[in-house]
Amino acid sequence: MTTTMNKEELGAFYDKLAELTEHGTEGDVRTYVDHYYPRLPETVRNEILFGALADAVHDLAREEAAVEQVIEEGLSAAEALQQAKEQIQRSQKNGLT
Amino acid sequence: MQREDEAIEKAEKARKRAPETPPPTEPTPEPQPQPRDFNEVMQGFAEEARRRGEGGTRGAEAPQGGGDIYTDTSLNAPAGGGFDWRKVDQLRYEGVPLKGVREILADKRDSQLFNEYFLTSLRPPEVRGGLEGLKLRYAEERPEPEDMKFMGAAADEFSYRLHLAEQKKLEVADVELLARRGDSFFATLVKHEGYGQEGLKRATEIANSAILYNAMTKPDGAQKFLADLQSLSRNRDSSRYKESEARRQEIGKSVGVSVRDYEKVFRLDTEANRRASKDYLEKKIHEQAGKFRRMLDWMDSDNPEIGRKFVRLPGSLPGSSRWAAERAVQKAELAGKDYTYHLSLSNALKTIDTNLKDIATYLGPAINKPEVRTLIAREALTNQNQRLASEGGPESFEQVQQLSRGACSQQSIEQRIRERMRERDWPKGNTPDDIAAQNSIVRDMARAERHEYAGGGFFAWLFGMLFGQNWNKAANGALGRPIRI
Repeated sequence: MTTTMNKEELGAFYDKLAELTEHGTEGDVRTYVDHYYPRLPETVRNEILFGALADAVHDLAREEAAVEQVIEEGLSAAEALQQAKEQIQRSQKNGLT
Repeated sequence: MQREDEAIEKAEKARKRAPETPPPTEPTPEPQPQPRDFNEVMQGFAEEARRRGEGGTRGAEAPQGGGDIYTDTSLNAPAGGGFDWRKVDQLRYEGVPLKGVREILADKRDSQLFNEYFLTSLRPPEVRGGLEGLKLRYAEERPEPEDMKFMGAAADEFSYRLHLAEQKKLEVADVELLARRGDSFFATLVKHEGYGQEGLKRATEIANSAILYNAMTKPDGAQKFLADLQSLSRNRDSSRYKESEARRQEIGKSVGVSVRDYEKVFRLDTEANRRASKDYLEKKIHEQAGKFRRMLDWMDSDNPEIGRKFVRLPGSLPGSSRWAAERAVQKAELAGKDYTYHLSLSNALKTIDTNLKDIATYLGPAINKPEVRTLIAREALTNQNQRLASEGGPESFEQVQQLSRGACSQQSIEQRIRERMRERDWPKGNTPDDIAAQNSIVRDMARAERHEYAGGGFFAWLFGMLFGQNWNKAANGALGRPIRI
């Protein structure tokens, strides 16, 4: 059972997080937050979890839109190629070349 | 820390004792009556208004119009989900069941959301004494017309945000899908809420209550989040999606690319296999994407000599599949008839077959796997050099660092506060009234800036934390005394 941070500990957590944000990397920040997450007050945990969820949803929506675009372009190209193939085959059949 | 608390408390008490700019006709109310609970006061006021026949269910409503003192709408533009109580856009509330102040306060949940989150998150109303002054006047049961106007508009905005949050609820399956995205921070954190269905259920509950909280405090972020959720479900349910699915299957069938051929590549049973599959796919997709792009280039290359021979049929738009088809046919014909194109007919057929297989494999059954879709999307987004949109607050770690080192660094903020302190209307004295007025001005500055950078994602939260710290330090430095923003 982990204990929730008290006011001083939370203050120290924010100080360190601020320092990491200013001088560290995204990986440092993620590792730090992940490590202390179970000890954070519930309201703070919920804010962080929702933030991460919002990012995940945003990334997924963005990716889905990109995939749909790729599919649409690919299908258009494939259909064009199929028509070209049929055209060439007809030409060959009619002995045009 | 204790001394700081005491100083803040003392200043706050002083601020409460005397309104900041007392009108000459009104004596300073002394002694101050014991402040009552805000809900209780508001309910009492609404009851009083109802008895006097001044309001219906929307008790504190006031007539629209009045002076337009506050004109800077850049931070609170309604289109972005903000709120400017003097310039209410009624179209924003179309179709929203509007609640009155009395109705809001009668409901335990709504009342808590309204008082604890919604009102305090707003840019302070430009009424005498700000939000604190307004609350004080309500506590004394002598609200001014401007106070009533603000509360009426606030109730409408609150109803809108509530309606926004209740539009979409996350299901456990949604959270599960997101938790499977192994490299997201959400997937890392959600494990702390417990494993299996129990953990997912708990995370779903947290997420749904957080939507409500965010809609109250950061409507821009919540609106964006809900829009993302809606676009996801729209994509999956649309007839366009189903049609595209059928077309993909048809092409796969015509070139003999079966589901099983590609499915066997994926082994998602263990962490090591998942990683190996992903590495393999990443490489494969990168190669396929390269081929795919080269093929499109081949179809798109615009040799002027050949280009002149193209005759576009009416109705075919550049970039459409029909247009692409015509160009492909014409190029294929030219390949057979015009040897200046350096491609024989049999080679053209071979190229077409190879490319069709590539496309079918690329777009085929594999694209149904979330992991693969992610890889394809990232490849596509990288190729397009797309950047993250930066609406409503920082969305990347780099943006947070940039802001915290630049416009929102302690030094920049301190400079802005000092500039404000040099203005003529800055309360220069050291009396409790002066200190209270100084605090109020600095807090208003911070709140206004916070609105500008408000957002809903993790980086917006991270920035919010840093922003608060920098503001506290900067204000302490500029004022030469402790103040908590």
